[in-house]
Amino acid sequence: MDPTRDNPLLRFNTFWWAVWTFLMFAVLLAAVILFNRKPPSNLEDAAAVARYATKEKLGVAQAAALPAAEIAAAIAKVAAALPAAKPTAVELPEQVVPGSPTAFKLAADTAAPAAAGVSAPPAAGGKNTPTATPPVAPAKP
Amino acid sequence: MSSTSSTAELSDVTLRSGIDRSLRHPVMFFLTSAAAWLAVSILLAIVASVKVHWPQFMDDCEYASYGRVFAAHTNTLIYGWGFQAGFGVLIWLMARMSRQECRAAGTILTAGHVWNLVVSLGTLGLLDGRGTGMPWMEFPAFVWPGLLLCYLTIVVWSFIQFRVRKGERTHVAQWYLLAAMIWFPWIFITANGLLFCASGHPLMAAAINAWFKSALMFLYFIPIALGTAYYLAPKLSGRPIPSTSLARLGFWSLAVVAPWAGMQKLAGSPLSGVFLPYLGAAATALLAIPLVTAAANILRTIFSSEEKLPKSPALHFTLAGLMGLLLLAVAAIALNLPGSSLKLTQFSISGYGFEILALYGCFSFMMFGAVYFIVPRITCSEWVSSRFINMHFFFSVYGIVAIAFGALFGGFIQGSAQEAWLQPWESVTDVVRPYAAVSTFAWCVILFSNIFFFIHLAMMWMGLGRRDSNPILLDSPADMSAPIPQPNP
Repeated sequence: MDPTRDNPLLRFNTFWWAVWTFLMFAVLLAAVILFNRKPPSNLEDAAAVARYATKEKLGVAQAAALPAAEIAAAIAKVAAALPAAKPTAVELPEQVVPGSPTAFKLAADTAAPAAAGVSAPPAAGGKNTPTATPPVAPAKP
Repeated sequence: MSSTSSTAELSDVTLRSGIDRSLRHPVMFFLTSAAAWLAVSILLAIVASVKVHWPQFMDDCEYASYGRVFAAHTNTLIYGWGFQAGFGVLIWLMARMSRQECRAAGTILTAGHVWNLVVSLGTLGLLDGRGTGMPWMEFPAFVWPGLLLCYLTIVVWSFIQFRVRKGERTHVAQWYLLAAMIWFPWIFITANGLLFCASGHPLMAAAINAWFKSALMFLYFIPIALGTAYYLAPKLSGRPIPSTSLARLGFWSLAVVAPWAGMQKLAGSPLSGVFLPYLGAAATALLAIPLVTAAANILRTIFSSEEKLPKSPALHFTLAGLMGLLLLAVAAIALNLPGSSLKLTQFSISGYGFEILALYGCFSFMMFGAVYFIVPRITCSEWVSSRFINMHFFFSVYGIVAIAFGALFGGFIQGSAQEAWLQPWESVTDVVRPYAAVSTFAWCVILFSNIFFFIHLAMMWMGLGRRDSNPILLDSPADMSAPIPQPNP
């Protein structure tokens, strides 16, 4: 064994070199972060600062207004009430989603009085029953 | 002359016994802790996997919700099992190859206990819903500084041992282990520092997290696995590594390519166009070069002495780990072809299959091989039952093959179903359900296999091993005391 190879001084030196090797990455990262901080330089950056501040305020207000214990207690109550609630019927033509079963039915009802001697069959199961829609063919490129 | 060589051999045996004695408590502590965490992780994996195909399972327990349980499974697998098994193997290998006794066993043991405490707190915090939501970094933010400090305390002594090692030449295994010891602080500090200490764009946070996952796999776990295999293969087969040039190519290509991989997970996102994601995809595909190179080199070593292979438990597991490595190389290419497979597998269970293949199919099998080699040496007793070892081996292989292949192929099917946008989304979940069921069954099989491992390991730690100078399943004890054959120049 080479007597100069293993001695307390070399071990002490190597210990601190190893610690420095590990922490060097933290130091470099800190330097990169510190030297890359810049004040807002354009409108988007300035708006982002205000946006983050608002988000922070919202978070604090929401946490105060919606405590987790109250939400957990309310969930059980709401879950029990939901099955009993009936869905609201669609009243206005503007509320009808194009391509939905209700839209097809409305179109058929509108066309039926114009066509002579043709009556549309009633929809099975009521007007809120979902029916399978035919897939929409993709537009040709 | 012969008395001089036998004196030198006796002195070397005495030195190695001293090294084993000095590391007995830290290594056994790490290995048994790791095995316990592996059992916890597998249990959590089973619960998470069941919830995919049976969502009503434990649905009244908020601590068992899928998001928490799955995150706890992956994090305990990595930080509980992976790191601690890696520590046990790493400190022993570095001490043996440097021919230096450990003088800080107490410090290492204390750091190990603190590591366990920190991981436990992190897991409990995660199950309580305080996770960060970043895959593989889901422990609450207070955990990572503790883990880093423990890591430093555990591995710094291996640096010292390497520095004051006997002999000038370094072994291939030492390159990989030393590199892994240095790469990990870089990866860990960079990712955790940027995500938790510096405010930044949320999209970049996702990109950094994706990079961290890939880097942890390929710059920490895989190098430790390769270093272990490069040590065990020549040691157990009694043959040198055939090609130092190939070993050098494998090492440096891994070092150059692996840091660029990871960001393919954000393909299609508004992340600098396509440059970073496609760079990540290309780097991940190119990782096949170092993986195949290293696997070929080690396999040539093992198969140059085929008669040892059927009898050695360590070689069995090492070979299985190398097969996992080759599969990983193929999967790295197959899953990351931009424009074809990448878009299919990006949001599918293939990613999970790939990770499990790396962490269990490659790394864990190598660690099992190392455990079966190291534990008899530090406990001065032999494994009790070859049947236990066989049960552990075969059921683990069956389980991991089922999970890896199921997830990898299932991911492609899932991706194709996702791309069929004319069909309702529930058709995607219907397609995945059978693969999730297979995964549940496979994890149960792996848990069964590890019960044997844990019992066996616990028996060895309690001093109930077989008092026999002959290794279990090997012919001649003289093979086990041979110095590591040096690679061909």
